Amino acid sequence: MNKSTWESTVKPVVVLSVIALVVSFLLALVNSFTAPIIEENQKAATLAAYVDVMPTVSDAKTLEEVTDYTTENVTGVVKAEDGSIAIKAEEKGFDGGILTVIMGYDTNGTVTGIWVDASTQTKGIGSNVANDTFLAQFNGMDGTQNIAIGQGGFDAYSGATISSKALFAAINDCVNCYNELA
Amino acid sequence: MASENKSKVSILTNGIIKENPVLRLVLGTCSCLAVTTAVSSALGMGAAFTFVLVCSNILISLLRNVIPAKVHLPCYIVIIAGFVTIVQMVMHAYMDSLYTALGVFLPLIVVNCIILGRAEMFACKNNVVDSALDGVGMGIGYTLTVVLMATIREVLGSGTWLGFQVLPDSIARISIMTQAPGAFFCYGVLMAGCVWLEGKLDARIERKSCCDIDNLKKEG
Repeated sequence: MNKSTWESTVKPVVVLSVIALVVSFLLALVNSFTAPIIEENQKAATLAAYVDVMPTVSDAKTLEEVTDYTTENVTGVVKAEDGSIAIKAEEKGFDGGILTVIMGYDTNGTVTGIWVDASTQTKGIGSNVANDTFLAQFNGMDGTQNIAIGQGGFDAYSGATISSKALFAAINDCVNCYNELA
Repeated sequence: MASENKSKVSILTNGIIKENPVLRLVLGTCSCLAVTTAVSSALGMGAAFTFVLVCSNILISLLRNVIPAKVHLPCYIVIIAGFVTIVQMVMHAYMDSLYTALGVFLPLIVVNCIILGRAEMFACKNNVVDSALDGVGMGIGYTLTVVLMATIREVLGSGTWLGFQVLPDSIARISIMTQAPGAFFCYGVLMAGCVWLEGKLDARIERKSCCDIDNLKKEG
């Protein structure tokens, strides 16, 4: 191989590959340190959200995980000592961003609280579906009946149709899961 | 030796007024307009940005004789993207609220023109120490600018500074300052202020384009 082929063709390929390899290795190294911490933080945040929607629970440690459900899009269920439960569901919202909903139920099937993470939705538009004043309409609803936008007094957030649809779909997932477990 | 020290200082201070990346070079304005609604996110962005800029400047300067001209841009992008992703992972792990506040603008540091611009204009032609100083100076310039902008916008728009209330409730908030048009008002005023300040400091320089900077450097 003569020198000019090395300089003009092979060397750029080799240098770029080596740089990419070294950077990938570094990223894998940092990721191995940070990934467990991130996972732990997210777990703690989820537990805090469970407690948030269950007025009878004050300590996340008393919650017991329930796993015998088959409802699609439901990603977690916890049960408290007094029998009230909380269900977490995820639905695809705007542009594929995952919208997470956690619903708390008392022992009669009444909704005691709803927690929504809409941070993946467009800021100032879709993210509005997580507003407390908007979510207040779901507090105290009958958690055993499916709901629909515009029916039974439930409204979409105006201007955020796609995120609202995802929110309603996730709420219905929780309702279905509650009925399955009840 | 004295003149050498002086030039090192000038590399460091260039980024603050004379070659302020945002106000004079008009680079990286996208993130600058977006993250300046709150002082806390502006500070976080400034710190993340400075870290990436210093690291990438150092590494690119180290590798400046190794990287072939043909693939220099892909190489820079890979290096910069690597540092940005490291910052992103560390921030996600230890500063979750800041990570959420910066949102998409954190990964977008990868394509921030200031970092690529400094790699192209400075780091690939200068030694490691100078490049690091340039990164620090530009980082300080960027951070000062976004924090100043965020201060104006947060105080006028939300009546708070770093989350603490500074304006009494009786004074009406100018809510447009928290929105995009407010960012542009603020940006224009600051740019004018920077030009005025430069004149006051008796260091007025000709209006220049990016490619003139090298010539200015050569002239000293």
